[in-house]
Amino acid sequence: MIIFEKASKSFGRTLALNNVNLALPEGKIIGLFGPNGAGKSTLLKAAAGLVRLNSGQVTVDGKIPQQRRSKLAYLPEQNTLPPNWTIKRAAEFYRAFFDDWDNERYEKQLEFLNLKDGMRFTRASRGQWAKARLVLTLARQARYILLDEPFSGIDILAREEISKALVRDYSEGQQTIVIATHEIDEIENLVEHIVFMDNGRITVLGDADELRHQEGKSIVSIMKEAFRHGSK
Amino acid sequence: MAVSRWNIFKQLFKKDWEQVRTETYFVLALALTVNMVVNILNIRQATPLFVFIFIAPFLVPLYSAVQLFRREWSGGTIYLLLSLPVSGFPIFFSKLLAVLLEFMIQTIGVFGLTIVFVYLFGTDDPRPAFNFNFACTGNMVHALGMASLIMLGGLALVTAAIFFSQSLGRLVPKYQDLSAFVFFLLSLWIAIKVAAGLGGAVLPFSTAPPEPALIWQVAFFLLGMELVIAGLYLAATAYIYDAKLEL
Repeated sequence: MIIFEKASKSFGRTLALNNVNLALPEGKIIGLFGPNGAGKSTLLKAAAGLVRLNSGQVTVDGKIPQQRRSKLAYLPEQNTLPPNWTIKRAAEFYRAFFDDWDNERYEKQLEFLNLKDGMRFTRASRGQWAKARLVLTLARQARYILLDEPFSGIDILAREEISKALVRDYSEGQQTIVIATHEIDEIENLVEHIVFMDNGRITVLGDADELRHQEGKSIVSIMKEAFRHGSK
Repeated sequence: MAVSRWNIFKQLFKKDWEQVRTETYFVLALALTVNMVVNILNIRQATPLFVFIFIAPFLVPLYSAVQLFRREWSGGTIYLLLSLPVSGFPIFFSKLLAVLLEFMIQTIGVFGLTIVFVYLFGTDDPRPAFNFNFACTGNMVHALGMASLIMLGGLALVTAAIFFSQSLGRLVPKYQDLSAFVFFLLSLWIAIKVAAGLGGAVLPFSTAPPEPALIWQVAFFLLGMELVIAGLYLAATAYIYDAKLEL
């Protein structure tokens, strides 16, 4: 389980995480929502061990994230692969580092998203690049999959494909997928658990179905309301 | 496929080599072009051109070392590296090896091409030009071997100092490049001070003129110091990467 205890992180004068206490439930698809600058990316980076907290701690299965990198698959918002690589070359690279790499899953996802593994990233469109990076992340049977803005700058058709790809090989109960996005409507139907952040704090937290039932509204409406309250 | 340390290191090295090979090919192409132009057009005053291509194998790998580190940040691949279940030492050791391999290929390529062209097109016997001795030993192979190792060790030290200073520079919130440059000068100064201080204490410099045995002692000492200090800077870089760097 990924647990944040009194986690705070600032960049200069900007407080990105403000005393966050959070336990992400295991084996579920979790939507990490919030407006731009809410602290979603920092929370994911902290869980992946890419930022160091100013105070508090984050643990993954009881250890610091740097010691659990083999269990974590992290997809950042920006491009992280050398542009001259092909998807095949990137897969060869990943395969060497992670024993949870599943070649069958990789090939199926490639086919599903209509990608050729000889495609060079320099020649790929933004959507193809995003899909390729997602394939490389999902080809691992990682215990925790952390996706930061997977729909950023992607056209609506590619978004639908990415959403389907996300759940296609998802091992319910065994994998935890955290999707950080401010585009809630894209994944409203996918997520089982909701975390809403604003100004570095958790403002809404709970089971997606329970929240819908309690409030009698869609997740999008609940989040909009939470944002309005937070802004006041 | 099972994860093995060898395969991990192979992939890291392959990635780094892919980054520096363009510069390697560029220097080799330059050496070939200069040699062809000078010999085919029979240019007499070609010394500046040859100085330029002979210096390139020493300077270009240093540029590559700087770029190897910088590109990780500018291209976003640092996200990839930092999310891998591997510590900083193999990451920076593979970069160091890539730079050293680049230096070796460039040096052998540039000097080899020049020698071949001199033999093919030269009117005078070129052998005296290459028939130099190292001090009083008279053994050219040994001398050349030791000189090459010292150059390689020196490049390893400077490259490790580049990685170390760039890593330190990343910890500074502002003026990172300027800070890295200052740290680089400082790390070289420390290396020289340590080597000179230890050398003065350990080596018997009383004999004048120096005995051949002393020259070899100095050469081995110099090589040893280069490797030890390079190793220390590399270990320090790996520590910064593992314990301090963040995105």
